[in-house]
Amino acid sequence: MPDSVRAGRPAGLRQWGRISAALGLLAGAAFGLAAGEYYLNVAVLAFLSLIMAVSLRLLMLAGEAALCHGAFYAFGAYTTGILTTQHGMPFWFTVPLGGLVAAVGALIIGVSSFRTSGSYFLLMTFGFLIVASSIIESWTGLTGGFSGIVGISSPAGVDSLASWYWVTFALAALVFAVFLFIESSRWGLGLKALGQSRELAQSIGISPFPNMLVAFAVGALFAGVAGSFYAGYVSFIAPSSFSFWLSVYVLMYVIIGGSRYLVGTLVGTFVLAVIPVLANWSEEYVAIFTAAATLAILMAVPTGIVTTLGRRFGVRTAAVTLHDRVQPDVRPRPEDIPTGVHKAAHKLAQEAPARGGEPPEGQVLRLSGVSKSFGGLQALDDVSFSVLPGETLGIIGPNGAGKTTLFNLISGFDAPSEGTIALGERRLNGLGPAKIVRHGLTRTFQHSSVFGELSVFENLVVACRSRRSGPLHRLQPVRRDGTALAEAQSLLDRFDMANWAGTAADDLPYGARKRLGVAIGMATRPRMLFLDEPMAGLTDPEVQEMTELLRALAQSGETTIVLIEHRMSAVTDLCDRLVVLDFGRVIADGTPEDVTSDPRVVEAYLGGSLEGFEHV
Amino acid sequence: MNPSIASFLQMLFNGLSLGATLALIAVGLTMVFGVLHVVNFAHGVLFMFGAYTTYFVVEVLEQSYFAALVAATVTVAAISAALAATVFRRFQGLLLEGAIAGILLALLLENLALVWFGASPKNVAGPFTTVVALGGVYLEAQRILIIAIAVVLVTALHLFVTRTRHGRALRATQQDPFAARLQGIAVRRVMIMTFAIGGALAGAAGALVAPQQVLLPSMGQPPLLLAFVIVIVAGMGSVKGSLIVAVAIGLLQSAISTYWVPEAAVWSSFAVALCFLALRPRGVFGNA
Amino acid sequence: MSEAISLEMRSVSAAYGPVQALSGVTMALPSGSTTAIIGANGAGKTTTLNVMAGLHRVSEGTVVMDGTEQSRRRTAVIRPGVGYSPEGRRVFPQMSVEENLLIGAQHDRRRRDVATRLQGVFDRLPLLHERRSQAAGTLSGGQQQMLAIGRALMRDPRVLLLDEPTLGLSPKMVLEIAGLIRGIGAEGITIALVEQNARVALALAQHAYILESGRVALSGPSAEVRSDPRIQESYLSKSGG
Repeated sequence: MPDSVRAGRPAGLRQWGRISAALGLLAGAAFGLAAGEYYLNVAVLAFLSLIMAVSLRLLMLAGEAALCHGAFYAFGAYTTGILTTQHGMPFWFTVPLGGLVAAVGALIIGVSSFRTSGSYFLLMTFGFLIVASSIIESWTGLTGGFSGIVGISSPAGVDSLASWYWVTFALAALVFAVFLFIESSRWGLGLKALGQSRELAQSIGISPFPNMLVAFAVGALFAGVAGSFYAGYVSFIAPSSFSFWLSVYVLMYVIIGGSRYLVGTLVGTFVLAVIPVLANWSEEYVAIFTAAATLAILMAVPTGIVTTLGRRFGVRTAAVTLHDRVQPDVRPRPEDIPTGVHKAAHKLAQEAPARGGEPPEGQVLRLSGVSKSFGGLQALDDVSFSVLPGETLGIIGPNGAGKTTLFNLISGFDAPSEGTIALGERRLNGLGPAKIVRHGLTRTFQHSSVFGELSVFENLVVACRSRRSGPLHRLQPVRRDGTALAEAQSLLDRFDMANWAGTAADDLPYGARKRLGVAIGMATRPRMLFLDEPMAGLTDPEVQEMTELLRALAQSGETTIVLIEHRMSAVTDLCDRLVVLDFGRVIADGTPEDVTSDPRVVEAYLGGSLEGFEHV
Repeated sequence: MNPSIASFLQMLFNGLSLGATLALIAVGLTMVFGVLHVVNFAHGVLFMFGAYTTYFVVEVLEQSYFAALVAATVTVAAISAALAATVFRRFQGLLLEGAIAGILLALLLENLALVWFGASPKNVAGPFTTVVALGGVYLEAQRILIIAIAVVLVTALHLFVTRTRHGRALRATQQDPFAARLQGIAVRRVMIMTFAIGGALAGAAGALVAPQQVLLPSMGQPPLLLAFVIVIVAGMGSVKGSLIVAVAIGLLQSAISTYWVPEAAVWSSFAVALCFLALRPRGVFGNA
Repeated sequence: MSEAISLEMRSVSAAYGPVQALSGVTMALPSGSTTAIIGANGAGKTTTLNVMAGLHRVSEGTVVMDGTEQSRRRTAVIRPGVGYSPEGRRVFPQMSVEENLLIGAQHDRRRRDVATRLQGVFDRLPLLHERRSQAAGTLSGGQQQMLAIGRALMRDPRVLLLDEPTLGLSPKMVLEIAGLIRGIGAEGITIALVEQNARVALALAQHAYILESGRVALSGPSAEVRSDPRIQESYLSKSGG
């Protein structure tokens, strides 16, 4: 039986995608056959712009923009220019080298500035661009200075404008397909997750630094390749071809196109790069048009162009989701389908050897003498307690007692000033969040609890841990990752979210969003799940619901649950044991009954005795 | 005087005047960042408008240079305040979006300048032709003026910020906008005022250098880059730090041009910034 | 004596984005007395104060101050006549103690009045006078709390809002701040006191409201509230649900 019929859909969106791709290719071919020289020239330059735009977009998925894409284009162009004219190297050999030089440039700038806080990256790329152009201008011996390089020869066989059209058309289509492929891979989804919430992405095991560095370098590589082709095409390059504004324009193409779909970038490039040329405006007016148009869009949607724009412009109505797209194709192998909570738990036990040799039951998390101070403030002071496998532990205490700091230390978002945190024999101090989650400790956040722009299904898929994690596996298309899809599907069912599968997480009702936050945590298959106020802001019936949900999770034996929560009734109801923090110290540790009648706890909550106050 | 000592002193003098110009630009940039947490990429355009206003007043209206200096300061302050009230106020705290909005404004305004003023270079006649020669060191009167006016403006700014009610409101907003609201301070008004101050300083800087260089709509880009280098090294938002670093970068540029090649000045300053950033990710004077 | 009401919330609801913070809260601050607002984290205490100060939009209901109905919109600055010491003190760390106080009187251009009020705060809190040229960021937590209250007094408020003034302070300092609040209340300034420390709050206030999940769970004279078994319950309930 055909898949589409099995899934009850007349034609999936994938089919529409294929049809429009075919139509696009046909249109391109027809244009190439029919158009005159002027338009062919416009088209060649537009194809190169498109390559620039889609390659810049990759990093923007992860929430960072670069202002030096034009420099990478220039690197490619100059590599080809220099090697072909001064060393007589054939054009085709210089193309990969051009890409390589650009990628190396990206690695240099990325290594030095991705580690610093966000505001600097854009400035550093701007500085890099200016420096690169000043080097190109002043290294006359190599680059010809302001007069540039002339007489760059075309590659063999590509001598007419028409043949250039076909070459760049094929190249643009190929590059577009490559990036489409990347974006639909697990890695691409991970980049999108990083763009939505860097800390939540870390807590499901995605490290920002290496991923963004690679995205930046891959983007630069393709910009360099485009630059090489540009040099071959125009045969004359000079610093004036690579002004600051070139980089700005490319950025605008991506912004105008929106963040959700790669096709948007195609449209953006067309609108900004082609329409003004066809309208035959002078350069200044093109700039004014571009700036005014983009600014208007930015003003209409000031928060998060990188995240919001695509959604504002049509995505809500299109409702295309990964879930819709994968349904017809997924044929999970029978062993991938968990039939219920117990089966899932059973599976978990079976997989244990693959996770480092210990069965999930064996590991105790021990905090000994953990302290943390921020400047003069002692947030945690000599905290020691253990989390036993299988229990449900509540961490309570008044405002400012250090509960969230404690979670930050356990999950690796911050390092203790003193003391050790160990899982079994293994010290966790100093490991980053993405490493800690691989040891089976996952935490959720009170505020950034979901990836807002991703659909519910994508939120879960991105968090499902892969069993294989080689680079090739990361490039596997998400829709072919049967294991992750099946797990995400089963989480959807268990957390009663199947009806929301295609909804953007930001559009969920608040209670459902909190539930999704817990489901994302579970998708990482934790041994210990650390929940930071999973009930904050919920209504009473929702608290009841969440309590039941967590109880079911705890009873399934899949994970140990540690939660920070202020709803006392829910906490005493759920937890086997409570640890009470006050002023950064553990003031009580015991069963809910013992703890809530402990005079020190009562005092911490209700306030100290006021003996002597009447005389003040 | 020993010629090598003379050339050293000449280098110091030129570096000081360059540093004074950069300080005027960087201080505005860093103040705006302190209040709004937006990196204003349109700041270089403000500098350019200052220079063109001077050209208009001196060459077209045929008024005195000093009238032009005042006109440039006031006009650019008004332009900057208008940009704040219409565009930037939407981007408070949005680093990436605010920076991109600034870039777009720069693109828009630079090209409007191209349309209005034309692409051909313009020159402004300065008020002085005097050069004071002190034993082999040539002190151009215009450079002395630049240093003097920069000192006056920075002192005035310092007094304004530390001694007046509005200055106090500005510092309060920088330190804690929510707490400032609790004291009855209208944060939006403070933000517009800060942009106006930044614009005034950039406009004055443009007017001061106008007699020294040819005017082009793109003339704001190199000083903007240097101002970025300065605020990064100093730590974003630190006014005192950017003053010190501005003078240091001015001297560094001057030294590289004197003892090495002028072309190396920009990229070597940037290299210095990169090293500082690697050592102190929050800047030399940045807190925390 | 029939009590006049300084500030009143009538069936006020307010939200942060999708989260409903207050639902139908009715609350009155009688003139010249202290009202405690008690509740667990997330119960809506701070939102209540922000609504009173005009800093948070009211989605339903009205706020009445001195008999005048107030706008529902969030205003750019704090409502005139209201002084506010926020949670976490929020003093301006790089300014001197004296400047922190002066900025409280930012709205007032009459120098003589400001000087008189400054002297009044210094008389009440001699420690601030002692440290008047020290940067506020270098004060201890308790001293910063005094400064924050002093800064709010510089507004010459008819209504004083105090958010968690004893949070994170040592027991001795709690007593000192409590004494300060009692002294201010005795002078006839209307006070709304938000506290997690229920004992302190109930000892200081004549009236009390207990908030739970954005609703008033219990209210009345503080002596009654103090003896109500539900107050213990609302903090440390052992029953489910």
